[in-house]
Amino acid sequence: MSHSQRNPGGPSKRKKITVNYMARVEGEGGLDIRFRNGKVEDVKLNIFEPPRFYEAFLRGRSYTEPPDITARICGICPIAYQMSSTHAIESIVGIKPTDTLRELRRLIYCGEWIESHVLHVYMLHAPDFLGYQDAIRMSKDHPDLVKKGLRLKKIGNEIVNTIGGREIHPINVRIGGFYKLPTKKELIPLQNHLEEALELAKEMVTVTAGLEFPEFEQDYEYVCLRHPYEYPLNQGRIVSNKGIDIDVSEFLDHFQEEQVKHSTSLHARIKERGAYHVGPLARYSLNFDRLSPLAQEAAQQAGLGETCYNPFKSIIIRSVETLWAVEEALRIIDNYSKPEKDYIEHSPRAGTGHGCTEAPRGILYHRYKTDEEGLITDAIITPPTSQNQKMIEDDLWHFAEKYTELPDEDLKWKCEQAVRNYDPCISCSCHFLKVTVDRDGKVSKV
Amino acid sequence: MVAAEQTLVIGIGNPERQDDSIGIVIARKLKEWSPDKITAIEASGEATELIERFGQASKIIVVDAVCSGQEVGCIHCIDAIEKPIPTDWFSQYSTHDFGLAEAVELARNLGQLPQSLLIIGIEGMCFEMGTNLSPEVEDAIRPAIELILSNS
Repeated sequence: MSHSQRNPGGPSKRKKITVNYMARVEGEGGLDIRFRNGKVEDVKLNIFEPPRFYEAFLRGRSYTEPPDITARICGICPIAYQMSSTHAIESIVGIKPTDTLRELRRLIYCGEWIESHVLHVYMLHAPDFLGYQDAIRMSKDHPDLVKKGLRLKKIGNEIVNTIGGREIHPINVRIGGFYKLPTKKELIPLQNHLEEALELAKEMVTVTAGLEFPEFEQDYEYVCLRHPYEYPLNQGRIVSNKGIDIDVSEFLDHFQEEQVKHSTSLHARIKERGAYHVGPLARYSLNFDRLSPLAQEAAQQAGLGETCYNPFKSIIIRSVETLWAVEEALRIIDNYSKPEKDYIEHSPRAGTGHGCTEAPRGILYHRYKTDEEGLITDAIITPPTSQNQKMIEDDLWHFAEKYTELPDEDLKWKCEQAVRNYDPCISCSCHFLKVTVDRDGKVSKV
Repeated sequence: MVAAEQTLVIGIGNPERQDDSIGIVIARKLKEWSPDKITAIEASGEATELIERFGQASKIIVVDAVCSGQEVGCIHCIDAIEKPIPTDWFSQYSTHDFGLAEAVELARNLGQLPQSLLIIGIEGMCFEMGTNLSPEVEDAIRPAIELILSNS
């Protein structure tokens, strides 16, 4: 059902909530909520971050370039872009990374998950739950919390730096493997820091479990990767709790992106059903059995079941996933010995390749077409935030309706918190957020 | 940790964004000249890295481009220990993360500021893609370095 159909006709007592510029989200965006007679009439997540035309930049470039070009789409999840693009291109040129190269890719991806999740949990989302405007104000009353968050994030950065060559927009990933592999000795300092991170991550789960959560659950269609034995990260089939179970190459048969007037980001939907939800809640709820025993135990102690449909509890799940990523990183380093070859040789080939991996915010799909010389003729990139955008609007629709009696300021706060449940990366999806509340025609902005 | 008698100069900026690169340009010149008592480094301006750097010396000078609407090439000198630095003057590192002003205020609340922290801001004009500095910003290099030397 489209939003406009929910309140057909009716008297004209209106109210509108607008967040013109929303903070603590990544990119430029705004939020408009219109009420009529105490009922939500319309919700729009307005994304006005300019589109960045990456897909067009890629045309005519060499098949070896997408990992470096697409990494520039996002400063917080460049590895996700490197991994999805690498997998897509490798499927065209017909190579498969060796087990050790694959493990090292997982290690750098764990670094990105730790870095991204910890930044969001402690610096962006926790202030909502603890009643602070931002992490700087929160740090006055909760300095230890912020210090531990910064420390844990730093350890994630160190992994990316060690494997990727630098913390932001790493440069060491290439088609077939890496430009230069680390020695075991170079990974040893990480091991000591990750032991410390393990304790910090356990504490992160306990701290987030102690927060207060609104009673709010939705009947989501969760979409994520599923692997025969691993918690989803860089490989698997695309599955949903409502019947999807497809190979990555079938993504475009089941999902489509469409333009909406109020956003420079495309909205993705399941062709047959509409909005769907990607990210930590989806991964957790469809892959609890793939978590490590320690992460499962931490989740259960945090009061979570094997599935979770309350988007506000995503803050606990990000913490559980952080714990998992720390353990996984330790396991990989333990088993690592430097292989002889840094990468697998390859040569250009014409074809179409698909890649889908789990960015911290959810599945990131890439598709490339190349010609005989290995030049890219077409590229499609579907980031997690454009997949969640419609779901965010649906959540706000139901959530705002529960709190219509709240004063505008409080309502805006709650709605912004609801948007941040998704850790939206607006700069990725278009490649920042403002809230407007319109109550029966009386408009207020923040 | 930088030796006790040394001043750590942190040049911040994006070398590919014209006047935004001024902090990096100054850090590079200082590294090249290596004056006594100064250790110069370049940084992207990411807050967690800056906070960590704040713990590496007792005397720190940060150089960055500013956009406060004043005359281009104008040099601002702020004692960050004495007062908060204006958040809207400096580039927020990215839409994802925290910048210099946030790093200083977070470090203040966490008790992690060095004994001395001077912020030298150079007013820029062009922040588009490119590696050229505006002539007024170019002209500010020498006086800015003299200011750094006299405060080291």
